[in-house]
Amino acid sequence: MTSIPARDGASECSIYSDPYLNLAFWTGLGAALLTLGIALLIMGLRIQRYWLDRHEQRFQLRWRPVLMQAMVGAPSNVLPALARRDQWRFLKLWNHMQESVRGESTQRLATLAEQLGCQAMARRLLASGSLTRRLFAILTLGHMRDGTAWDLLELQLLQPGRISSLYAARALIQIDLQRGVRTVVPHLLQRDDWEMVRIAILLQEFRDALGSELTSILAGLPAARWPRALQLAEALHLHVPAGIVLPWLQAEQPVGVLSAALRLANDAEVRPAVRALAEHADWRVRVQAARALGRLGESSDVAVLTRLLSDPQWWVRYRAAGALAQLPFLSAEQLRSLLAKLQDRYAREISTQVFAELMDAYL
Amino acid sequence: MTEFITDFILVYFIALNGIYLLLNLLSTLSLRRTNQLREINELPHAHTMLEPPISVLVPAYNEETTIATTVRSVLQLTYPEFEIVVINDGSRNRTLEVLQREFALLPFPEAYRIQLSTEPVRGIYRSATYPQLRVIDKHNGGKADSLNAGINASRFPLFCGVDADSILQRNSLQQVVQPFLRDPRVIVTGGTIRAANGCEVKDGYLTRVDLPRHPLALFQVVEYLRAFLFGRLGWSSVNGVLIISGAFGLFRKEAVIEAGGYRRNTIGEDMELIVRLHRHMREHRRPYRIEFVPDPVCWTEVPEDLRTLRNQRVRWQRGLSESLNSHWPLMFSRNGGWPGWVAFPYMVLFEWLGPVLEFGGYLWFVFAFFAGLISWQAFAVFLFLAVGMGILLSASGLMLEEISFHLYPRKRHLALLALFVVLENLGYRQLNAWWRLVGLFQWIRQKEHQWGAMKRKGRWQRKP
Repeated sequence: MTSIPARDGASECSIYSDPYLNLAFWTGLGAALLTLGIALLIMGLRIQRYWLDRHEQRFQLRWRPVLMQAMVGAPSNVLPALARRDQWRFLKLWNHMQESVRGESTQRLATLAEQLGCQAMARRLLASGSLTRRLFAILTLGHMRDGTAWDLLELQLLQPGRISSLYAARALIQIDLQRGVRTVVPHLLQRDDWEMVRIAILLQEFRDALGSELTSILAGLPAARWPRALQLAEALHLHVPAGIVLPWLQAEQPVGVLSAALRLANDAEVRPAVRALAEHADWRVRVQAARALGRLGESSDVAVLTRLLSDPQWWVRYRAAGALAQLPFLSAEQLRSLLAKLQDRYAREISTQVFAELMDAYL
Repeated sequence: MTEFITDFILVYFIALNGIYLLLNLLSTLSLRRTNQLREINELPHAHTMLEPPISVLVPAYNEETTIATTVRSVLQLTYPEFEIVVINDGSRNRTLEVLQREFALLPFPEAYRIQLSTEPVRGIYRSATYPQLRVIDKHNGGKADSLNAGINASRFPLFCGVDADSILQRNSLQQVVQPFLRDPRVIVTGGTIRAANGCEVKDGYLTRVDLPRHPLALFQVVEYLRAFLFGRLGWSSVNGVLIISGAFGLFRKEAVIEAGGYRRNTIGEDMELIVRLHRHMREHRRPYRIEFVPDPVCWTEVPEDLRTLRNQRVRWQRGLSESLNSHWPLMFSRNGGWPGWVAFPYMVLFEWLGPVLEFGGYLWFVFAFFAGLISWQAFAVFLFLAVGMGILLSASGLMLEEISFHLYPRKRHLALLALFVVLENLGYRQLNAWWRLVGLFQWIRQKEHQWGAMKRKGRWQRKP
């Protein structure tokens, strides 16, 4: 490496004589140019945003009243022309409104979209490289109940994309409830990449139809898929008949299955199985058993729950006290008397706390 | 020798800023992915009731001026189910009295469960007006001890630590819980913290975003943009986040208790816990994710006087030193992954030893120039590189803010931020490097730690 030139040295020369200084100089220059580029980009973004915002305001002023009128069943006689540059904006606004309303308004909005040729717009967007645009296209076709788009949407359902495939599943159900549910349910059970929360958000409104289809195939489901099926039933708040829940409440089942099945236990027929699980070795099962007894318990379960008040696990004691307070046939007076009889310190402490927490509601 | 030192410093500066640029690139990609789904996620939808309930823990020590506002801000959060646990850590001022008066606290018969040992609890109260609010009054034991007491008292599987001087966005819990809903491996998430100075807060709710007037606070606005938008977001994309700010983080309680809770007698308890969680999960070969959410979720008052700012930075550096020094086995460990093989060594080289090399670099070049050891060109190139790269990095933080959240929309905002992006590199950063050096020195001397005394003005609060 060449030496660094001294300030007063005779060898003082340009910085190019030292490779590290050279590198530093060019890096600094690169940084300066990049900073300039960023400054220009920010200014460009600001200008673009200014014009887009202005245009958005004009668009909203023009189209929001039209959509509102259509929604309440008083469509304009003459629809304004939808400029090509506004099509994307319109689809976003239209879908926003579709997601906000239920009942006849959705059909009215769909009719308006049909008059404006939104099917064609959505089909074009479906081929877009942007995920956002594809998702809005799928949403549009679903809300419009466009039967001719079935094959296109089924193709989307089979794609690996975890978001777009789930939106396609919803669109298929919107287009044809029975056929859609039959098509989608096997995917619901298989596709672990579909987030449970998003499933609940998108499919909750079809839970009756999904529930019937799911329960019809639950009995024959391989054990490996049980946890997923239980998660689904819970996420969609399905009522699973006692006959199906009972096999999952057998003590030999894994803890995860038992806990989830206990959360679904809502019928008196499963009460004995739930009661038995209050003695389970794993505290997570006992917690859920206590909660289930709070929903299903009868007078003989007061003793089971009182015993759980002395459980070594805080959470079991807490849930057992909550369950006791929840039993509809126990009055405030009876609860107080029960509390007075408790010998175990932990049972007394947790009951005092929980009854104080629930004081407004129960005592 | 002169040549070696000079070249070493130059290469160090190039490497440091090169890594920052790489992080910037990762953040840009991550923000692009987030932006793609933003419009879909913003469509109206009902709560699913699948969102896990959250315990919000607010440790407070001598916070009588801000505690009521903070609690009100937390009470207004839009989330299906949450509780608030304020921990009064033996405050010497009227923090407890303010809480009792503002929220009608009554003694509560709690079956307090000790999962993590803490200083003794003196009493537990519950609000008569807001049943979801409880206050734990305990002997002084520090912030970590308070958080552990809060964990003991918390009911729910996730807890969120919030600083008592923080103002939260209404949807902040909804934002930071998303990774937990998406991926069961997630054990911690954190969100972006912004400076509340200059903003307007009414009834605990942020009503207007604006820039502070004080230059020191403006420097910190730029600094926070850089630190959060590309520092942490970049590391998050490779599961290498080693810091989740104590001002706002969401944790899976089970994982934290298993790792032993917050460590007492440490200054940077927030960073120490994150590094320990990485180490714990990796040593036990358990799959996990620690994620950073770029959305601005929490606003905090930043210092506006040099003394408080200096103390804060000294404390941060000492915290960093303690956290790294307690977990050397994570570095280059067999199952260390990104945190052990990249993030930890980066922290050691550029954040821990950074001040020595950064401040030493400036010092060396000034000395060498005046001693005639290097030419004026070499000196100029160094300044050109150090200042130029600094401006580039801050400008890229501003760019990320522009393309993602655009919280400062007015022309005046942009002009002021652009000015401070430049000014920040002409003294403020160097001053920061000096303070960090002091922090490092104090850590070596093992000076006793205490709660960070923060001089609060709370000027952004509007009386209801």
